[in-house]
Amino acid sequence: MKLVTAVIKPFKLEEVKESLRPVGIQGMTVIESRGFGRQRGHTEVYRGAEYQVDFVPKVRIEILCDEGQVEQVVGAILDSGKTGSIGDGKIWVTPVENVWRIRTGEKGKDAI
Amino acid sequence: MDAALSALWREAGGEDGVALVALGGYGRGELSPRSDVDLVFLYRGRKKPVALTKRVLYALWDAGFEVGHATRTVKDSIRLAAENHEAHTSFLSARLVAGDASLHADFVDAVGAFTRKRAAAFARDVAEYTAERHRAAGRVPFLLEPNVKDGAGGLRDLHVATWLAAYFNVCNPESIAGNAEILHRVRNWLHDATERRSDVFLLPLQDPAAADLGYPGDRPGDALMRDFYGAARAIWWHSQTCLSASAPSVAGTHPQPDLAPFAAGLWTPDARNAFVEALRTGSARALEELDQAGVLTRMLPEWDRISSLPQRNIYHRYTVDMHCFETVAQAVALGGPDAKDDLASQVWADLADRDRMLLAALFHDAGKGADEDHSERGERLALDWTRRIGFGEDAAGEVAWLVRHHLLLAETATRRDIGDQRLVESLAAQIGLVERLKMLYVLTVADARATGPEAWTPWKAALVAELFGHTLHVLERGEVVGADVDQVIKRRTGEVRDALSSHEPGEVDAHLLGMTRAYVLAFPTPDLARHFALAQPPPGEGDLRVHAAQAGEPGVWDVTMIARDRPGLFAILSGALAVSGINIIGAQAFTRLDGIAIEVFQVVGALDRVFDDERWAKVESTCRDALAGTIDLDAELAERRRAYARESKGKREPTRVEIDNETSDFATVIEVHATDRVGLLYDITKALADFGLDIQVARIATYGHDVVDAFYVRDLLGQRLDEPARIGRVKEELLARIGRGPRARG
Repeated sequence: MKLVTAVIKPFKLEEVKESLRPVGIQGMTVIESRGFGRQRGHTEVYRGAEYQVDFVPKVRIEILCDEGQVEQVVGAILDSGKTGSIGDGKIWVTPVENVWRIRTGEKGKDAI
Repeated sequence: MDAALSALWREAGGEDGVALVALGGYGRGELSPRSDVDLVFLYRGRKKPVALTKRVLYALWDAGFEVGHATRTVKDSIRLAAENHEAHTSFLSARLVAGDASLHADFVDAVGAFTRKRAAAFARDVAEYTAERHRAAGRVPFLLEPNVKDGAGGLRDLHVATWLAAYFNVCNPESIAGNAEILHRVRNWLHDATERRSDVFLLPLQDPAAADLGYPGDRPGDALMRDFYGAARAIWWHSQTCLSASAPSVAGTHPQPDLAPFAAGLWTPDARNAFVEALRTGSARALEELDQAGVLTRMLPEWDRISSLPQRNIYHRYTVDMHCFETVAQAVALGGPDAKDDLASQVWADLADRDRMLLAALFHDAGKGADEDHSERGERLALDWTRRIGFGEDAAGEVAWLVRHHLLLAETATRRDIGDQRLVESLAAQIGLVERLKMLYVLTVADARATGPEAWTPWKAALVAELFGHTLHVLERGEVVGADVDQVIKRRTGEVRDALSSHEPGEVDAHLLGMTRAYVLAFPTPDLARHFALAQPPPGEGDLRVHAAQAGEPGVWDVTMIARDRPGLFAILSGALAVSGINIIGAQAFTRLDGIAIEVFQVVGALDRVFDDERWAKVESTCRDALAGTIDLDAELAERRRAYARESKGKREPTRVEIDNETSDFATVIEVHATDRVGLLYDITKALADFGLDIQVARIATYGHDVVDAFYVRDLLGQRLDEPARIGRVKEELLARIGRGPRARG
């Protein structure tokens, strides 16, 4: 079992979500987050006053999946999350020890 | 209960000089299935009627009742009341159940006298306890899961009015007594249905309760909660009015709108002014005051559709109308003493006409509660109402526009790519006016803050602020938006569509949408159409399409070149032209969203001014070779410069290179002023390419010997050039390369 985490541009959420459906992913956790990488924050200028925006709004999604699905999931996100300009984000995969479904007590693959 | 207790009393051998008195809820005659039974055994003299009380109480306990009890003299009671506010208030509803009536009467008199003596202090205590109770159980009457007893507008608020009625005229519990019925029914249902004595009306219980209470339909909870909120609101409002009057220092006051002008039910100038004044106070309570007086429902037809209309999800904490009041309040608060020094406050301070914005704030959700899209319905209502109130067509139009588009900024910021220049330009065109954008921004912020704690996070604020900034800059510069500009763009777009009617309309539109508005402004319709045709189907790698035609002036030609964009494309093409003995006197370059570059050069022959098809064929092939990399442009151009070194006559302007990050949010503008020479354009653009700068848009013009070039560039990561060190290096390098040539500086 694996956890696929991706940080993407906010407006890409719908597209990414849709692209995961054919892969068989029906659930994910979505967190509004802010961050920066090589994309620097920028300065808003209004009336000569600068409002430094250091952290750029992003969306983080977390998807639990079977080891065998990882490649498809990552592929789908790479495809749908890309704009080609800086700030598109990153995807990473981490191993998961175990998973339970709270309502039923199912665990392991049944709980994904 | 009373009957049972009377019987018990007789059985227990009720004594003289002892009274069994009911207090609190029982005293009021409101016993819910699981309420406490609150009793006091009053006695005179020294001897506590212990045996009697025991007999009564044991019987009650055996029967399973929760009994609150005490045995006191009247004097004891008063002493207790002085220390304990809750005890004091429970005494106010004392009722004789059995026993000595005169003792009970004495008790009531004593409590009354005691309270009257310290009425003001008592009111303050009530206000404090009420505030505390609300803090814990619910501050507004419209919580998704209200506390029927302790929350704002709950049953306890009704008691507040009752307690204070005797001492303060404004408190009149009779006026709101009718509203209590639905609260009681819900509370009784709750105590029956839940095993615990919970007073909190949880969301999943609302539909079942409504069904049991006789509400019809699929979601009976909606109708029940509407009635509930209406009743709670009336109770809350009255108790707040009561507390504000009796204990202003604790309960606080709010601006009192002048209600007199509304008495006739007509929108006279006085009524209009009073209304606007009320809005300007930014007090949701003041607006509530207007509403309670019926001003809104009477004088704005169809306002009642959103009156107490609940929005039953965790995202919205208020009913629709209350939310509108709150939005007005949040907007005015941007200029208030607690305002943070942020962008929203700044923009608020800059608004020219705040009244329009406040009207829009009040009306923005008025379209809810019907099946139609609420923005569209709201637009119609706002137009009608603003006119009715007595504002002119101009104002009515603005307010209606704001209501129609009140979600535009927030939705675009979170769902669209706000880094896309085309999106921002089209948004700017849609909004059209700087003042309107500012009002929309303030409305967006106020609306979100008035919705609930989740609706306006720093995350969202950052996105909306960025979009606001970009759109504002586009509008302020007025280059690609504005009434005249919009006309031209609209006309040309239509003409191009007509001219290309043989093609798929979808393709033509995609082409135009993929270009920035500046592109459509830069060329007349026939050229625009020709570019499209030349670019179909889109060229692949290394493919170059060339078209040359005589321009207006003799000897001047327009050369259009279309290719797949890549770093250095412009440099290569201008170099190839220079190598072909062509002087570039003007150029415009644009890149389409899908990466197709459209470059148009105005050229003259450098020495030989005559062009025939053969020559053009040769030029085309040189350009292709240059693209393929089979020509060493640097070497060839150096050779040409040596061979054709020109004497330059007249005064030469010093070379200037300006790096500008103000003009565009989407690119750095590099402006070059220099004296023309062979291969100048190539040298400049090659330098840019060498620095990894991609040219998005180029505008080149020649005036006599002087050349003015403007390049909109981004680096290969898509960012602007804003690191000072890098800017310095680019500038230096450009100056060095421009200076090279027959008259290179030392």
